[in-house]
Amino acid sequence: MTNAQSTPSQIKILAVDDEVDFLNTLSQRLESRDFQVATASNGEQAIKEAKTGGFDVAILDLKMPGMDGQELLKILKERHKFLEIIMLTGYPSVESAVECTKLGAFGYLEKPYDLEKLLGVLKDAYETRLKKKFPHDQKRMRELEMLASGDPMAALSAMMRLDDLEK
Amino acid sequence: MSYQWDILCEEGLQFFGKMSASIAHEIKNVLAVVNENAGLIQDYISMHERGIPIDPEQLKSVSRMITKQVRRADTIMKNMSKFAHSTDQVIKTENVNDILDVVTNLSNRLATMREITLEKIPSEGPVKIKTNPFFLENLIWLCLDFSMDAVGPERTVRLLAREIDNNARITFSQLGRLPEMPLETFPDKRVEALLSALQGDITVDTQAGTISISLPV
Repeated sequence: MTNAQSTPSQIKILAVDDEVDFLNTLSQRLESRDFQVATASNGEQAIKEAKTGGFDVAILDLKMPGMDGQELLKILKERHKFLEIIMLTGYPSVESAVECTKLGAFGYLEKPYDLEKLLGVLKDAYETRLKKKFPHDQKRMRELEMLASGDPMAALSAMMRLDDLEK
Repeated sequence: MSYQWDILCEEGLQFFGKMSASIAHEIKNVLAVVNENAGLIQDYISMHERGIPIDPEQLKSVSRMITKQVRRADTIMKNMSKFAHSTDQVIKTENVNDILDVVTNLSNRLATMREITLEKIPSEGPVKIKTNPFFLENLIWLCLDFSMDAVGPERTVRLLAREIDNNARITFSQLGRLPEMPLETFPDKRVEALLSALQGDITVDTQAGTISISLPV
């Protein structure tokens, strides 16, 4: 059993976007907040990364050359049932938001986005992942509910400690 | 108003809308990168306030990235401006190469999304014609759109403008899949309406894998 007081393991994020400059800066900002980030600039690369990466949450750009974000979302949800996925798009529409939600997307944000908003969605996505992964752990569920209204980064940190206790 | 005029108007609006939407998407991408870098500067400031010194190299890197995006946006807006101004005059003497450049630049993002490269071949000299610039851009776009569906395995559409026998000829080549395309649907009524308005002709050569537009100089 992991010591609850030790530094929690990092939440693993897979970020996918064909705009490499955007991807690199997003990755840098999330890593400075103690997330572990892997990047992919297209769908095929993302599928390869997801196979071995053990990611908790993925952030996908909707419009990409070749395999677009929606197609990638469908494939990732089919192959990784506990992976929660947040869609990012510069061209949001109700139709695409509904379609992505039907395909299993957890969140749908417009670019340029507000980082605090993204962190909030990341927190909620990770919480959902834990609930799905450990559905019978009622004590954990109660603890998660208490964390739900907290500051996103503090809540994430506490959730990771709970997750670590399970390992 | 004639049926043909209705087609030209409807198609013109759709063409203008499609290009405008593509430009908007490109600018949004630029803003997303600038936004990220503004956030990164804020992160460095927050770290500095917590006693972590700022590395000047990191700031230089952010500055270079923002400058790069400003140049990118400037190019996008210059293309948009040229496109918008093509409606200023109904008839104008233009170099066909310049019109081809406008359409190629506007279409690059759309081509990239289809994993296709557009290669404009430089011609030997200017190819000047008296034409309706907007209608010609619209016609080139429709032919380019079809060409991208018909492109061969090299995934590159080549565009070339030349003067041949007192005609300006615009050729789209490397269309290896032309024999498999539903050629009964091309040219369609939109292309035909634009050809009629521009007094032009079109040739689809499935053997050579080319589409050519001829216009009187």
